[in-house]
Amino acid sequence: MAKRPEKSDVRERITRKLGESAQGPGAGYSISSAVSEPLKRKLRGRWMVCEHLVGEEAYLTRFISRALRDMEIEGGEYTAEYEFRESICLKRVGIRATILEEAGSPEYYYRLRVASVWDLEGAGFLSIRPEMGYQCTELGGEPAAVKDLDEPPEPVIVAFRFEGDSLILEEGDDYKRLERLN
Amino acid sequence: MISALAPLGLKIVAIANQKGGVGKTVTAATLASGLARRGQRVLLVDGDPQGNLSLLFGVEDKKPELGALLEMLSKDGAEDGAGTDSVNASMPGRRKVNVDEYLAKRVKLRLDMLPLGHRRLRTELGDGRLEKAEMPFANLLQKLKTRYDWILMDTSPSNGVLERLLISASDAVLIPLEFQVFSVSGLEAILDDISRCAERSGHDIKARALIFTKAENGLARVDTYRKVFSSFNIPIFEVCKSEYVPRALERGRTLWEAAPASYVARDYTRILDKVFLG
Repeated sequence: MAKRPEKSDVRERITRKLGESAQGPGAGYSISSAVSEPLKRKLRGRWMVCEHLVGEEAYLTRFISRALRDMEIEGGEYTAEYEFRESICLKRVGIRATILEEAGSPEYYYRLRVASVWDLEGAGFLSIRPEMGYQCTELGGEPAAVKDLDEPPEPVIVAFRFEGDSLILEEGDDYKRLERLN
Repeated sequence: MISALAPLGLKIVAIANQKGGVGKTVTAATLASGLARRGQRVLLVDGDPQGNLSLLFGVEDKKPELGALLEMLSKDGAEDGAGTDSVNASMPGRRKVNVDEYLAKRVKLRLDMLPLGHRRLRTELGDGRLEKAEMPFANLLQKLKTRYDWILMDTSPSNGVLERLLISASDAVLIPLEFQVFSVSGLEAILDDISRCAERSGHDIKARALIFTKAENGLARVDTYRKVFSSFNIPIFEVCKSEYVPRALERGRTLWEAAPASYVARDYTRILDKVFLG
C-alpha cells in the first residue's frame, strides 16, 4: 500500500512551489472584514498596561537595570498606555525613579511617545508601524536628553488576544496585559 | 509587500482551481465588475462550460461565443485579429478572425464579455481543435491588452485542454479556495497545472493570490487553516460568506450594485486595491 503523504510534506511542497512563483516573504494574510471590523472595534480605545514582563522579569526592573545601571535607585514607577484609534495607535510610556546621590536625590523621569499606524495582520496579529515619536529623559525636572524616532522602522508584528476584559499583547518574550481605560 | 498586477503589466488574469464550488465564477464576476466601476475597461471571458457567468450577465443565449471563436482560431490559416488598426492587417491568403463578432459589448458600463455560448464546448470542439486554438487564443488576448485594462477569465473545475488553454493565455492566476480539508491538495494540483502551462507557453505565469471565499469565523479549525496558509509566501485574502452574494446574483445584479457597503464588498475591494491596482 502506498504511504500516505505527511501533511508537513505537502506543506513543504506547496511552500516550495509558491516560493518559485509568488511574492517573497511578508506577502500578507488579509482576514475578512466580517472578522476584522468587530475585532478592530473591540481594540479601539485607551488601554493601560497592568502587567509587563520581559521573559520572567518585570519590565521596570529590566529598564532600570539597563538604563540606570551603576546608580542607586529608590522607588520606581512605570505607566504605559496604548490608544487605538481608527488606524493610528498612540503609545505613551512614563518611568519615574529617584536617583540616590551624595549631592541630592534627583527625580529621574523617562518619557516615550510614539504614533504608529496599525492594522490587523491575520486573525491574531497586529501590524504596528511606528511613524513618529520621541523619547525624553529628565533629571530633577530638567531635560537631560531628547531623541526623535529615527527613520520609521519596519512594521512590528505583535500577537494579540482577549482574555476576559484584558487585552494581551505578545512580541517574542515581551508580554503585556492591558485593561481598558475607557 | 504585495506586488500589484497593474504596475507589472499583468493584465490577463485567470481565476482557477480544479475544485468546484470554491467561488470562481462569483469571484470573476465581482472582480471584473468592480474593476469596471473603478473606471477600468474590462473583458470578462466565460471559460466554464457550465456557462454560469454568461447566465449571470444575461448573455447565455447570445450568438457570439467563446466556443465559436476557438473553433475559428483552430482552423488552419486563421489569423487572430483584435479589431484594432495595429492588428487588423491580414497577411495575404489568411482568414482574419474579427474578435468583435464574438464579444457581447457593454454587459455593464466598461465591461465587455466573451460569453460561453454553448455548454457542449468540449465535446463539440474536441481536444484536438482546442489544442490548435491554444496559441492563437493566447496571441489574441495579448493583442486585446491594447483595448482593455483587464481581461479576466473564469475557468471550470477541471484540468483539461480547455483549462490549459485559458491558463496558458493568462499573465497571472488567482486561486479561490475554501476553508476545508481538500484545499491544500487542491492548491498543490492547481500550482502544478500553472507550472506546466507556463512551461508549455514559454512565458511566466504565476499564482498571484489565494482567495478564501465563504470565510466564516465559526468554522472548525479556521485558525489552523489561517496559520498554515499564512506561512506560504503569497498574498492571501479572505472573503466572508454572505447572503448578499447569492441574493444579488438571483436578481442579476453585481455585488457592487446590491450591497456596496457590505463586508463581502469590502473584502473584494481589498483584493482590487492590493492585487490589481496597487
